Amino acid sequence: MKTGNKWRRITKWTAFPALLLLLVSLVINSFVTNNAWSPLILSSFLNTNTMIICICIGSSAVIISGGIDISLGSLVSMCNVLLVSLMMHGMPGYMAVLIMLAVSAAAGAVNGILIAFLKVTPLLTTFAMSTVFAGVALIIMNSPGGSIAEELTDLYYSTLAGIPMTAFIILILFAIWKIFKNTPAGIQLYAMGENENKSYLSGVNTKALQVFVYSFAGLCAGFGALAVTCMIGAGDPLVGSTAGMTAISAAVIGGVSLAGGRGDITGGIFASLFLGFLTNLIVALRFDAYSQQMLKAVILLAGVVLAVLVGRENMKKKGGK
Amino acid sequence: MRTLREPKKEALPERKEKEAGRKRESSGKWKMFLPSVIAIIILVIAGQILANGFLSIKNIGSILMTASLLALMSVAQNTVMISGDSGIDLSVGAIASMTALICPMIPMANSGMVAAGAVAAVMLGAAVGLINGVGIKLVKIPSMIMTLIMSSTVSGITMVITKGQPAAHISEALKGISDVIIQPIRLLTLIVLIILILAELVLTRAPFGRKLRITGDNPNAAAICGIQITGIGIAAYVISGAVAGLTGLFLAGYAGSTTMTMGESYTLLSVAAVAIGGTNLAGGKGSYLAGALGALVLVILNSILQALNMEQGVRSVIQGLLLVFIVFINTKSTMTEK
Repeated sequence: MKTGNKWRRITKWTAFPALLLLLVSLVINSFVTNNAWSPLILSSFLNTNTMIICICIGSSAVIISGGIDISLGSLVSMCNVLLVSLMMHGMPGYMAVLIMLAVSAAAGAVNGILIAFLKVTPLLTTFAMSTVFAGVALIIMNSPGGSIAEELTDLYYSTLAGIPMTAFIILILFAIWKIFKNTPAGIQLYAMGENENKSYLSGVNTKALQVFVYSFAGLCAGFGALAVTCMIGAGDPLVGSTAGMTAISAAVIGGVSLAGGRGDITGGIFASLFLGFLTNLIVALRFDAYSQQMLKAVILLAGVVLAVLVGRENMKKKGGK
Repeated sequence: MRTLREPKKEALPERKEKEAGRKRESSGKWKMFLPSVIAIIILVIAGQILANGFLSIKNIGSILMTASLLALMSVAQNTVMISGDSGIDLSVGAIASMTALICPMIPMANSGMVAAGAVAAVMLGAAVGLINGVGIKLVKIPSMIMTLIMSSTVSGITMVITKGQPAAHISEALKGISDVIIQPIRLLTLIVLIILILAELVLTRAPFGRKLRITGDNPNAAAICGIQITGIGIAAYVISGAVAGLTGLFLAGYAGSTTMTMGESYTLLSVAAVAIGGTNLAGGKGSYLAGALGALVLVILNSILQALNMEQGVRSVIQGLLLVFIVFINTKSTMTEK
């Protein structure tokens, strides 16, 4: 009886479908690749996927608040070339990183201000802003190049007490979100996602919350840019161009409802990892290069169908109570 | 005396209200066109001042040509957006790339074969649209996610079929869509104009258009009225896919060559064109003509920036900022209307 309750609670968890997909892909992966569980392979896997996970945390937060942000991918590109060019001009690494993070949060805040105060639809605002960010990235650096201090790359690939550094980047964002979520403002954020007008009428400062959540998403993109810069060790004005959309898909597979107010970032993290394993798997199975993209998309579609069906089943049960 | 006057008093406001309602409807339509028309006038004047020969017949012709493609794409996007339920079709670009790459494999030696190619393009696009529609309306996957994944799937299929090597040959008959009819109107512009007018008539007059608008405006009320809202919703995505497929074929004919991702940029541009045209992203309201005007705004803007020999980065920043501004103005004007 007791275990039955526990089981039901797990299956009702919004992140459950993503967790399921992640476990399945993990199991298949361990059969297909050699040494799938060696720490080296796992940490290098984490290193390659940190960017998507960071952006996904930001996207999830925005979607939970009832908005959407499709500019995060180009924001990553912008921050990436900004960081590289700052360091190329001889700025010490930590300063450059701090400036880059500040810029990323400010860029997110611009999105938030446009949406909160000018009342422009989030989709259009962030689309227009993504054009702006992509443009700025091209102005800063119009072709891939540059390099960063080796210390930074070494630090990125190092481990602390056996845990890869990249895990800490994700943990910082995860902690900020978890702490925020349990404050009154966090609860108000979920309420705003559910119904903006009602929460405004009951005294929630929706404008401040919107600016905050888009700034947080910007900051996440900044951390994502830090990760990708350390990984590739150079600047590329197109590095994040498709990442924003991938992150939104990951958030939805992770159980975040595009209607707002439902879900959590944990599911998004599971889903991002699942997408990473999927890429690994398709490469490991040696499908020919032409069919890889189609296979990946079809499996992704299957994943989304599963996530949506499980999510709907849970909603029905909730409604029946 | 009083008893005589009173019925008159009552009758008057009623009639006035009806007239006002009719007036509001027609003026609402004009309001929809207004922001884009003003933007076009300003941009054309600015273009003439900034760039030499901007208003030459040749340049106007080429602007209209590029705008025709985007306008046709905006018809696809607009249909989905009018159908409501926060509908958006992010797969239109990938569908266009697919038909642009695959359909020229049919030997199109004469105009009859081009027509056959167009039918093939429409069928291909409609098939993708049907999958989109079923996924969104029956499985209830959010439209943004469904069409995004389909876009990736479609590009993947194109990759598998073409093996990464686009068909090299575009037949002269297909390139004929760039032929000049009367300066500065070329064949494609004429075709798109006809499609636009027909589509607008269907939207405003035909039963299907009315059902589409009602479904977008208030799906519950539409369902109570006996409208098959699921069917209408799926039909919107099928139409969108079909029109996007046709656009892809035209795109190949216009460009004269093909690349793997030639249609990709049209996805978000079509969303922007429709938004500038004043279609409410929440659905129910919209006009194909207004969407086409929005497309014209974007194309003229890009043409000016290109004529000024600006770097791509600067161009993209200016485009983005102006887009924010135009959409902001649009939001303001629809808000005051309410």
